Amino acid sequence: MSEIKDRERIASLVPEGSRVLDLGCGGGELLAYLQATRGCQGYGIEIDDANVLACVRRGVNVIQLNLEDGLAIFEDQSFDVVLQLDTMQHLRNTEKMLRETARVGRVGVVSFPNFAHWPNRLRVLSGRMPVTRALPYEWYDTPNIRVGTFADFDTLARKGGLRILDAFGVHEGEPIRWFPNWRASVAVFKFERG
Amino acid sequence: MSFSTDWRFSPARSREIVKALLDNRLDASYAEIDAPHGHDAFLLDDPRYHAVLKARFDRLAQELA
Repeated sequence: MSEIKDRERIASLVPEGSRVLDLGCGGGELLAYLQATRGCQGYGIEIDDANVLACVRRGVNVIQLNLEDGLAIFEDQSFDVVLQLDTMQHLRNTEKMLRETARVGRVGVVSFPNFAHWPNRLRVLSGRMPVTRALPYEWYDTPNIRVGTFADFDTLARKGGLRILDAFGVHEGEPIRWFPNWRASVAVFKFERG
Repeated sequence: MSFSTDWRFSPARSREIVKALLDNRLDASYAEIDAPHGHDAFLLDDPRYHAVLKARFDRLAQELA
């Protein structure tokens, strides 16, 4: 339920009629939603065979590529918005993909689990790695190879010369603007090339 | 679509086609099937290949109907 609300929350950052590239688009749910409700032209990038098939079934443009190889086939500023939702934590080349996101898109939107959300901090204080809805894995089977915090991303974005246009947290579908580094399970950043 | 080990119509050439379609803002989808059978892969019963092609044709049929 809150996943759908999260999706609508993110979709509200995408202007009507824009050209959208969704990196790690999964089964294409968000792109289908943006096409149907906001008149967007979208393309998704996916590596997984089952997700590529789901996109084609949904009528969503999808291109099967490995994001670790970069976005060489896309021209500079060729999309209005490039989305990188719940994807960054699975990528080895985090910094490069952020630069690529800002190169290809006039605007980039990133979301990822905020490791500094207070239940995670309590759990680490108790001596154990957190297992929550936003971080549902055990330390030994997690696909998240990059765990960072809301505050960490802010630092990385500045270091990488990105201009942050908006930044907020999301928790159970609701936006969190007060102390998001403590109170939000998910971090959202909207940025452009600085 | 392309097959990862096809040297006759390689994935690199297919990606060039995808790029041309994208640069011209046309709708396009691209699946790259990881198969060891080289150019002959398209003659075999690869369920991933058949499923994506079927899904695409089903969509086309729906859009035309």
